[in-house]
Amino acid sequence: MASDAICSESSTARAPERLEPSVLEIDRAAETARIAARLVEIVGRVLRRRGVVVAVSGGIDSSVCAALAARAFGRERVLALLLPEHDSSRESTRLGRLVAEHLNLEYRVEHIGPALEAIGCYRWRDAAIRRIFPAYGEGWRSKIVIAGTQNGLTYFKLVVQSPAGETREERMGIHEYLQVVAATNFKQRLRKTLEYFHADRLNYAVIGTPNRLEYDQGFFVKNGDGSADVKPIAHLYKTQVYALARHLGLPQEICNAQPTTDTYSLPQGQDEFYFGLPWDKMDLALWALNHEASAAALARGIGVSEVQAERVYADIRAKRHATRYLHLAPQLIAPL
Amino acid sequence: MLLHHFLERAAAQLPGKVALACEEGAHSYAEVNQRAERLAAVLASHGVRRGDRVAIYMPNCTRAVVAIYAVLKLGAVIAPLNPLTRTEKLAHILNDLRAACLITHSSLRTVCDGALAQAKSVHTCIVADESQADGAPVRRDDAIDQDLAAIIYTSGSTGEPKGVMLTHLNMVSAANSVMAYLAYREDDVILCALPLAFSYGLYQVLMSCKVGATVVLERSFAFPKRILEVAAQAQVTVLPGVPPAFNLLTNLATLSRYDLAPLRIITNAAAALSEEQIRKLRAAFPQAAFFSMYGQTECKRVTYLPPEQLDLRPLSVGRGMPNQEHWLADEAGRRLSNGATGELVVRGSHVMRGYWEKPTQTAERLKPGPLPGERVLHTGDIFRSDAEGYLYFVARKDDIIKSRGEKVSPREVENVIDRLPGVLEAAVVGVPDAVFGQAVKAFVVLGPGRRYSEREIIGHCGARLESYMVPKYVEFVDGLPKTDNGKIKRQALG
Amino acid sequence: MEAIKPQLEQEAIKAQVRQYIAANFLMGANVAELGDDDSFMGQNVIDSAGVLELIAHLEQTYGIKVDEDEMIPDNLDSLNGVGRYLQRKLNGARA
Repeated sequence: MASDAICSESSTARAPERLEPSVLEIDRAAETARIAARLVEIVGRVLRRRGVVVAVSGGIDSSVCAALAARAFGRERVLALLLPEHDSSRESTRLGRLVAEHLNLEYRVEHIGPALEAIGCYRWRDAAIRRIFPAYGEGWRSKIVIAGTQNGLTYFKLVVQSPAGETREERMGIHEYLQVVAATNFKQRLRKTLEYFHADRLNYAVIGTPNRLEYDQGFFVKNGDGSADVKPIAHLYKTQVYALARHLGLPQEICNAQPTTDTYSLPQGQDEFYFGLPWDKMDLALWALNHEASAAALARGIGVSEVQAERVYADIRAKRHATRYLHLAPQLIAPL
Repeated sequence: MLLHHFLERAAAQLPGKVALACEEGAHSYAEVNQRAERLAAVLASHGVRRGDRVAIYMPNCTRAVVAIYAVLKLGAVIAPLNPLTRTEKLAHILNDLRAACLITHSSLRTVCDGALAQAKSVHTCIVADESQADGAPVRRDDAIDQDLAAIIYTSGSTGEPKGVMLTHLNMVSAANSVMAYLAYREDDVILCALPLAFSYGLYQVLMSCKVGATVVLERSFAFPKRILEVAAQAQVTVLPGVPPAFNLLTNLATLSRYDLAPLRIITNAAAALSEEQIRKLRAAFPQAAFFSMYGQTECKRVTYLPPEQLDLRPLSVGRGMPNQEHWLADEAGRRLSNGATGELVVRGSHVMRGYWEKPTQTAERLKPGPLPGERVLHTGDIFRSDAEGYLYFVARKDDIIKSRGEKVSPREVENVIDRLPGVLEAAVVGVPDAVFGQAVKAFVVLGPGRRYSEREIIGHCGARLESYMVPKYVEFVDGLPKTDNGKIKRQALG
Repeated sequence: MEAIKPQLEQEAIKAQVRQYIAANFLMGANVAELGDDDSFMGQNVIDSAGVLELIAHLEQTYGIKVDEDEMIPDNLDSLNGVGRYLQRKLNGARA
């Protein structure tokens, strides 16, 4: 049962009744070798490029991608980029550097804060926030959290912290939410712009780092981190990414870090912002849905009620549906 | 009469009356006084004596007020500090004061630890929201009204913080003068969201104690909806504020939903409101009388505009207040008659004793007055007066830009730039210029999606101002540096 | 007379919302066929983001503020739901 989870999910096996974390186990050495081989094939033969650019954030996904790239191409053909901005935590830059140096990769640190200022990223975002908290400004921090998932009517709340340390939260209207997200999307898109600049300059390909959960659920920015020439881990569940991280010998700190967005100035977990459940449970839920496990089996597996499990499935389907457009290529009027 | 006598008198006459309300709850005069007595004994047992400087570094709350009165009861000197102050500056001030003691709050412990490591004189640190062992009541050395009650820090235009020394006499006189025209009453409920480190905020509590009113303490104006909720729920009758706070309140779309019928007095100080802002404020709160006021920490307050004068001269700050004399002086120090422009000079028992251990800066501001040995305060602010002596703020003397042999008031240029649609804020400063002496430079903050070129800003000014006032340089910025009190930090620009 | 008024109000509200959906959401089934009890999200007439947009529109049009504890499908996921909710809200009672 565990072995068929080498991630080709075309399984026609019977829907499993026992859901345990072990269903996500993989043969790490085999998987690493497979990814490395495929990377060489794709970049060399299909894309005809001479190496790869990978942006590292200090997070688990980009770290594993960088390690896989180093394994596949050797350090001479990998360029790592660290692209912090004003809201980035100092930790992420430090960890990014740690990974690059651990892998002995050439890397560049380019601060995109000034560019984001110039293009109005922070101004647009702050203007929307001020429609909810008029005093928001210098010295304040914010994040968005998801709410209402248990009622089936998802909405968003804005959490702010004043310079004095007082925290308050309020429901965001759709227009404010969209404006804040649109403004913060500048960050991912500007980073990708820089990755392609270096890729073009060096005749390299650009790596995209989303994992399966993110890819499946549309948790990426179109033409931002969603854009890439090749995505080495989009077929891997996050649990499996962590497993590879340990196998590849990445530093402990990286292997132990919890997924954050590092997009908002208040620390924000991905589960607060996008996924209703912690990532390890999301992985199981996604696997379960892909293997047609019943809601009852899921409920037992992740320790929730059957009704809640139904909701989780509904939410996964809904997100797939809602974010389908992110995966689409430009639509043409008539076939060429 | 000393400042803490107001509290003691109120505790004797109105023991059960609510003196303070804050997130901890409501506290009566008797309770506040008792807690202050207990804390005074604790401080005394730690060796705090008459004349010692005690820094009070806390957010607005009952405990902060208790700390203030505890220190005053010992005849020691309070130095209230804004809780936003960072480690470096806190250390600098503690050393400047040669403070004996620091009273703070557990939420500020990290900053304090950092500062105390560098402050040699502080022998005692009390965390007010943690319990302390009681001290035995000690025979106290009573102060007289010539003794210092407070040292209040101000940045002024040089940026270096200076401690304004205020005696009990200074502060009681100032409180009496202000009460003579504002007339707080025993049945008033005053909402104080201004920091207690700011004399405007501190005096709300001091004056309330004097008349036995109630003060509702809020930490700041950061959440205007909360301010209005509290004001409605507590049936607030007095709302002191500053321009940034009033902007936040009057711009709230939901303002009319809050029932603020009991509000009878609104006051503004610290910076001037524009005519439009005053109009908006009066339209938002027609039930209240609006007082436009001016003062500075060095003497607490100088002048207020009687509300009935607002329609006639909305931009004036009045022509003084009771028990005070003032005049405008030219560059040579000569008194000017009405209708002129010059530096405002103030005389009265509310004028500070000087800057703590800064004789040079003190000598620049306190100069000989009419009587032998007397000092009068040169405010460093330029005003003009109309025929009836009503005062209008022109500029801080140090902010005046001298360009092409002419004097430029930054405010005047800022007001013109502010009129462009999409301009959120502007600040104008002088920058060195080889030809002009100083050149005029404008820093402009635009709303999102707005684009102007430098030329457009300059052209707009050129059409409305004398040529020597028009900015030579324009820089677009995302925000302007502000002090903890919300004033623009001009010295941080240009 | 009193009992009829709420009914009329609800009908007026439902008609207005039906028109808003028709005018503003391009995806979705023919709005004329939308049943009064049909779930907006369930029938894929509008998705959850669309419901948030509908909420913003209702707040703007009717001058109300939807409280967090009123953000439930019963109140907002069907024409009848919206009609009842809004009618209660406008008449002062908590929905």
